[in-house]
Amino acid sequence: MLNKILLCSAFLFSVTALAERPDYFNDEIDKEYRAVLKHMDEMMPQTDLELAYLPSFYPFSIFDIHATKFTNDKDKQAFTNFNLGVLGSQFLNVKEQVGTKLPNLVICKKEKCTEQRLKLIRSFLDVSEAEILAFKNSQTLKLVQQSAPHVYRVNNTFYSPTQLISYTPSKYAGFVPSADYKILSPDAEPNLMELSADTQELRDLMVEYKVAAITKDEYDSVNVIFGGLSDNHWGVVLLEKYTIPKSGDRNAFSLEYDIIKPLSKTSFYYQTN
Amino acid sequence: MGLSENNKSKTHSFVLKSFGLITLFISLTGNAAEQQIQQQVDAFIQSQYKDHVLELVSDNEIGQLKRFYEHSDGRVSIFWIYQTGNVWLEKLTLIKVRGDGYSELSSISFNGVVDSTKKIGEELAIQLRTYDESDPRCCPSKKITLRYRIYNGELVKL
Repeated sequence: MLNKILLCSAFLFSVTALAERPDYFNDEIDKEYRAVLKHMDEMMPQTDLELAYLPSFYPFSIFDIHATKFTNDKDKQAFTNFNLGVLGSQFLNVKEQVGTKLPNLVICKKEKCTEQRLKLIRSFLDVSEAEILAFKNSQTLKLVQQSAPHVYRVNNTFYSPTQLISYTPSKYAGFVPSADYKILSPDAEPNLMELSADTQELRDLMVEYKVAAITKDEYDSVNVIFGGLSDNHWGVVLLEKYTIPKSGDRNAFSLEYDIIKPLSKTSFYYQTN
Repeated sequence: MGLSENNKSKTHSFVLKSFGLITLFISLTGNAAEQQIQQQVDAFIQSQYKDHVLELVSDNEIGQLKRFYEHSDGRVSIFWIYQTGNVWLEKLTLIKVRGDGYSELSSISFNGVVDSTKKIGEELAIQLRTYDESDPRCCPSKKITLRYRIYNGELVKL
């Protein structure tokens, strides 16, 4: 245990040395972020494998920490990059040059890859209308993410066959995941397991069509995120109100739209950057 | 009537050659069987890799081989790690190798980290670090030994 504590201390020191504290961090937020880092370090076993933890950085997976209480859009977006840098240097086992280029893997500017994406989006929308509608109409569901058929997230709870980890947003930055969490047993949490059952059909489709996460904003617009890393997401938004945004506008998570392609009057393909 | 010296020498030479050929045959077929088992273990581990998100360089589900043991009747016990999202599981899976393929017989997951494994006869001895009350999720510290035996295609805890 002492070794672990020393390792944690060394890690936190190295984070401070490697990444300067961003302007949008104050003392409280800094403390909260360090607590999250410590929690992540204690949660995930060390591995020497390169990129073994990369899926944990996919949209709304365990390392994709969101600062939900930041009020400035640019700060929110900058934090996603900062977080990838900090946690990536700890868990991805790749050189810094490789790590900084990882988001390029999810950027598509050419016609061919765009066409492939649009084809996949259309196939998914063709079969998921009922499940998306149920998600949209639900009073309790805000977010569904899948890592594997039995490992997924609903709202702020991460599910696995043996354990649930439920997070409360941190007080100042609203970090999710945060250091404020409960580890729960599936057998003892009927309400959380009901949410799991309610999303089963949607999650099955997400696995089949390789959808990373589905979210709903305060205006009930549904964002189907097929892939992404850090602030680079791509997917389709199904609007409830408002009109189709333009390049340069920001989505509900403050990520800036780089590419927008309307698919109908109420839906559009997007890529953020 | 006894054998002449010449006949004795020929007989001796024949026995030696036969023995050599038999040894070579056993060695070659043994190697072939070992290779076949290794191939099927690799195939089992590869089958754990699954991608649930497009265009990325890493699979969402990963299998990592630790070691495997051969048992009688083509059965093989495989110690491996399954990883996806925030889940990291040490697993033991029993397969049966037959022809060019394998079938999965049974599988168990360990609550902790497998430090070492040993095959004693048809028994498997596993040194496991499992969770003490105050242990963080990454780092179980309580050391225990588990023993399993294969019975009717199942891994039976002793």
